[in-house]
Amino acid sequence: MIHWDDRGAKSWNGVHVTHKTRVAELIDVDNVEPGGTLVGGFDMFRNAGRYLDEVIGKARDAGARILAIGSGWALSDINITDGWLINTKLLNGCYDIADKYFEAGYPAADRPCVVLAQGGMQIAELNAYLELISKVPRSIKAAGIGNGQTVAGAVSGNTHGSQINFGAMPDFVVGLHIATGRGRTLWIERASKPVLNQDFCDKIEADLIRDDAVFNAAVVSFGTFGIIAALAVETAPIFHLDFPAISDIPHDDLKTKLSGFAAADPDLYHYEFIFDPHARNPVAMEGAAKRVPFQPNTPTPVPRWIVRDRNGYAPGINILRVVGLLRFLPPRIPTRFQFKQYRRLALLNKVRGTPGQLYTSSIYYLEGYTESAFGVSVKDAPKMIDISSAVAREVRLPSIGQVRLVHRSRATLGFTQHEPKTAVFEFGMINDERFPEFERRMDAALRAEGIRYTLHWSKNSGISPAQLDYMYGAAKIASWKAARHTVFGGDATLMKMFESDAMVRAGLA
Amino acid sequence: MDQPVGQAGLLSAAATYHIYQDGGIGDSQPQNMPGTEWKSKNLNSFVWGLIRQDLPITNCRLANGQRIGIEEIRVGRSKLQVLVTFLTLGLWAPTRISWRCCRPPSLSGTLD
Repeated sequence: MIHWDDRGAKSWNGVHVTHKTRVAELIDVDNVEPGGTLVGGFDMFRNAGRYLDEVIGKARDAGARILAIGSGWALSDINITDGWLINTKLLNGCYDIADKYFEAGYPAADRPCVVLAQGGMQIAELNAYLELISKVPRSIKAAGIGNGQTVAGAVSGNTHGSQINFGAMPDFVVGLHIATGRGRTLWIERASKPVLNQDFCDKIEADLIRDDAVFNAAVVSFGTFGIIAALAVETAPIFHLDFPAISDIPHDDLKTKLSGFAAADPDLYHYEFIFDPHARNPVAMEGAAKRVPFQPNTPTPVPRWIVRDRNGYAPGINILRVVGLLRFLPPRIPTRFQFKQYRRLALLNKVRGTPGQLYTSSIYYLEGYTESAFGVSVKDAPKMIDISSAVAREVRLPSIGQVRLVHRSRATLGFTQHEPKTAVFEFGMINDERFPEFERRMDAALRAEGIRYTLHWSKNSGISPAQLDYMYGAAKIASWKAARHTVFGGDATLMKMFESDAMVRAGLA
Repeated sequence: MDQPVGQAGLLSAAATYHIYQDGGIGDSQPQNMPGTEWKSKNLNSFVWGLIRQDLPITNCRLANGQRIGIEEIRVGRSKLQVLVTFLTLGLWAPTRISWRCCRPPSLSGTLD
């Protein structure tokens, strides 16, 4: 049901407090029926779609814009609105699907690995369900380092991780249940890969759209195609990842290695390297993991990214604002410190576990922190190391570079779509004026070198129409807009309601 | 204003504390998993605690009234609240409390 019990405008910000806003309404939606019963099964999915459709209709009546929050995990302003903010985190059910609801052509052997997860389910909850609760243990096929996002938010914002032979989180989705405010929800699949049949759509009272262009656009759409009520997720039989000890590699050797990554080892699951743009002796840290068989009774690895000590002491919420005042320090000093701490606290080092056990970063409340992330082809990664290092030195940015390789995505505006693999370069930094300046200079330097790049939708300081065109080209942008028009049935009012400022600024309206 | 203390900028908090659940099934759920957004309230204590202001929390419920519990709490004092406490020698000791609710247990099974 829709909670109407706390009406009125209120202040809101995401978990990283990178942007603040005042929303007209903050509304919770949960799985309780109007009669007061908490329902599961098809009733749950059908009702959630109805409630979301209803709340969109109410927003339309009120003349308000509307946006689903997810976990508020994005560092960019794609989750910022002044309209109605819909909290979907209470929609957190997850179900297996009986054989009879699959399309005849969908492989029978793969059917036990498909689950239907509500959009508000947290990644940590999905992992727990797949790996620990369900009768058939399974693992998600791709994961970012964090597990605090909702499934819908992580997919829609193109959370990437480092699955070099699979792809990013949008790539494990094979069906989308979306409420648009048109009175009937939609079930969207690829025409080239039909998964669930008309009986399934009837059960959730959704109109079926089977169209590759619409699906590929909707899967990375950051809240602008309506509200995602549920997603069909393809998983894999449970597996382990085996991370050997972190190794050190000189930049010259690393660049040679990256040039040959078009033919990655098929057993390689995860590959990343971390570099220090200010280092006088450039040596990167390298982490990689192979997918190996699940071994029962393997001890759960100690979680990484936990910054509190045994007595509970942890960095306070404003510590980065204080660190930001230490501008007199040469940037190589704090960057060297970060580089060492990253090895100690963050990188997966000599551990074995499931994705749900290993990818558990939920550090937030490190307020004032942000990240800038660029995707480039792995072929351009050697040049990108030099370019990004030069720009970081120019703007005196005290930040290490974290680079993860991802298989290319089919999502129309998926930022991990570079051939043959996308190298995602991420720079963590204090959220001050150096953030947009860093990205402006990176844009200029990459264009000067003729390197096509894409910016992470959740980690950027703002995307202009000219940048968007450089990143994706006119044909993909037009295809994405046409798909959006299809999903909303050409209803201009509904389309306007789902336009965020970030989307308008990028020229996607 | 539903912001926890400290989110308004560097000089907006004199002290903050953060209390949250940890662990979970298979120890695969470290740190917190909130189901709602922050709500906050300033509370007052008078005469060195002889009179306190309680905070009954009523929003951590589903639409049918079922409680879902509190996931995390922030306790903090702005600089103004510390100054008031100091100037009144503790006769008036205000504090800001913020909380987020839990998620309900995830419903699961097979769609049949």
